Amino acid sequence: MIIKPKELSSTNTHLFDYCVVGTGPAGISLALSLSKCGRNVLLLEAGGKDYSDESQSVYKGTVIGDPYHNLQTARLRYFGGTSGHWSGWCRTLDERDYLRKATFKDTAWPITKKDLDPYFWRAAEILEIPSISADILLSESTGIQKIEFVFSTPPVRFGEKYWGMIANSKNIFLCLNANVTCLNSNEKQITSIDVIGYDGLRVKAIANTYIIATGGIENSRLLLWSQINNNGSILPGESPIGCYWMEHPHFTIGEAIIDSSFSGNTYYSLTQNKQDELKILNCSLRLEPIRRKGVKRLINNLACAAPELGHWMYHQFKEELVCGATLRAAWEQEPIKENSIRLSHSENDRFGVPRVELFWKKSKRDIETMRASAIQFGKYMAASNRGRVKLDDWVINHEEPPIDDELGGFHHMGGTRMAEDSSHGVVDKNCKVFGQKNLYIAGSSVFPSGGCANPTLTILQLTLRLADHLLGKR
Amino acid sequence: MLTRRTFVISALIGSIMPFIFYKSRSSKYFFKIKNGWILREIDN
Repeated sequence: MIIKPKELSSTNTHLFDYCVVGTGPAGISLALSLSKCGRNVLLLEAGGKDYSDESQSVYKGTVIGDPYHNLQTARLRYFGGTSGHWSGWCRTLDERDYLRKATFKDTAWPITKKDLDPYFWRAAEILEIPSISADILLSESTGIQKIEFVFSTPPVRFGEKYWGMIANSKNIFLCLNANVTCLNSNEKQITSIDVIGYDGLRVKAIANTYIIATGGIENSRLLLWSQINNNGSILPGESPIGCYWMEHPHFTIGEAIIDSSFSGNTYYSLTQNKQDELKILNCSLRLEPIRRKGVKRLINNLACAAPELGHWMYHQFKEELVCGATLRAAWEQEPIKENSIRLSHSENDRFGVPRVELFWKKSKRDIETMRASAIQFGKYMAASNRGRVKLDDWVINHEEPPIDDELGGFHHMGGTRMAEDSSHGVVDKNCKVFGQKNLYIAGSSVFPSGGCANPTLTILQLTLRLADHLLGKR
Repeated sequence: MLTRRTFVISALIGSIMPFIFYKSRSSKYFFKIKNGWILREIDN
């Protein structure tokens, strides 16, 4: 059922079992899972049923460091959350992604792939995706493997798909236009949360347990502000709130002349052993076909570097035995403490909460992950004679990436990372906030490392696991 | 007869040698990067 913010005061007379803040994929999936087991869930959404500038403007923020997307448009603030512009890409994280690596010590999760695998099919049902084929090793020596992404087609818009179910639910109390500004804590448990409506009405929402699911930037922002307003009593002082924020850098890194048998988009990565050997993180490479005109230009360019090969390639092209492709990469960033969400000292939103400042830079090791992976791929293509790869100058010459490319995948990860203890993270392996008895975080902000897979599927797996934990099912 | 057989064998070897050479070199993975192209050492 739908309630208004002003009704929160009166509904507080009966306690909600859970208060879920945020209606993106994590918030909605969690509320539905809890309500199916008969629990009363207060579901708070800061925006309305549809997009509004009034709500979206709260997401204004500043990026300091590398060029990045406008924070006001990089996520959506209305019912259904950022699933409203989700592109539908899905893949699970690899086994190695969860592990501590010899040269990247801060990448370890306190759980393994096996902890999330049991939640694949339930997540797949929600996201409307098929199973994902196993990786296919193409070359032991170069470590190149073919990997698969599957697609939610058309991408599931959580707002559209679940509006009716939630609006008609008897035990989900959806409150729209409810802006959560602060968590209030007493004796290591959250006692209430402050909610403000667009009309300025201030109310407190009360539940037994609180789950924050406001996205990979706002989760950190809310905790940082609440920590200040509670005199540092929400989390232990050493907790790295907002730190280790990550994206998946997305760039065009080269072109290729390839065997015509390549069909459509194909995806590659390096085996775990090869990543270990090269001391790099995970990187997915994608070949996107280009027009014939572009292939002629590429062959001419190849002929300058290797005339005989260029001549042979031209004949292959005339026989339609080769075609052209753009080589694109999306890769894992090493978790760095300095890449972080912070609160502005000079700008507040309309509710008086400091706006976000995002400090984000790609490290030299981040670029090396992509560069080394691309070179291995080029070697594989040449050795198997399935084509030749040309890397862009900035990749070859160790220069800064172009600023007019895709930059990132809108994948906001980290900030409230999962860890074994509060000095290394904000939540434990069950997504419970360290130092609080009844506060949990859902979403990609808990990722300690990001792999090279789009995060939505993992977010869903983690959320369903959290629901089982809250319901005492595991 | 001997001369003719030798000629035939020589011709056969001559036709397949470049192929063997080509394949064996590629399996050893000697590479170079030229103008951004990742090439086998024997690509020219």
